Amino acid sequence: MIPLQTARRIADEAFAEATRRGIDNITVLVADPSGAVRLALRNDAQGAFGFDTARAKAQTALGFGKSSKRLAEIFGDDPAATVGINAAVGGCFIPIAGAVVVHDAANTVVGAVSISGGNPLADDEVARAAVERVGLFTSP
Amino acid sequence: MIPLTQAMAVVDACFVAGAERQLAELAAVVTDEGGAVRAVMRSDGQHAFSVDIAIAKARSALGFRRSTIKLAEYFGSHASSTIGITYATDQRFIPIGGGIVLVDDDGRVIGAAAVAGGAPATDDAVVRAAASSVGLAALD
Repeated sequence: MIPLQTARRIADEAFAEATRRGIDNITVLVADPSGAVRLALRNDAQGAFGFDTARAKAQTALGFGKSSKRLAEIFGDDPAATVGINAAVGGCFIPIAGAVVVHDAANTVVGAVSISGGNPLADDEVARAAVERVGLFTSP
Repeated sequence: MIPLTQAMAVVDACFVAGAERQLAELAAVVTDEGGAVRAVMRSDGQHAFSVDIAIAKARSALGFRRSTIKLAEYFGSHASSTIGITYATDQRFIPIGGGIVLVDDDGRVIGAAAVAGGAPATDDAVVRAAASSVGLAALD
């Protein structure tokens, strides 16, 4: 499980990376392997939905063991499956890029990092950059 | 609206105030004045429900414009009202100590803060001390 201190560093790196890209309207969220929130920070420029969408993306990625970007590719043309899965898992399925599954050097899943608010592909890149900068790894 | 830097300061102060009261494991949240999460952190040994509980306490305080420890004084002996309000508010109502409405120097409501980790009176003391330490106050 990602310790809180590491989660805070991930958040710092994510905000720094977003700023470098001129993105200021994001929520950064770190979840444990079951999808439960460890940390979430919503930036001043982002609207009220930020926390809920970031959390759902994190749960989505952990639910399938794949980044939500990969899930967007898989489910993008299948709205029936998207709606059905969303209902089956209690409404937290958002296959939109921005959340990555995080694992350690032993390939154990330690949680997820989720960015909501910018362009989804940029959210994904920000999340991956932040994870890599603290010495952890992401799944495709 | 409370800036993210101030929301983070309150959350950090909750961990400090908690440690001072031998409350090592907790979740702390700050929301904006509408109840949308701005910052939340959960300590390494604290269970997952505490984030949901803290968010519900913050929203409960905002919903009644009253700290949840004061709400507990009434609702603790009015079970039917508690159940009814829980349904009426989409199950966001937890009248247990630990949530406060945050006001600034001008007495303006800028958000809510809540702690979930110890006994209700401890959670209440922690969140009040945290708010005070960063120059904010509880509405009541």
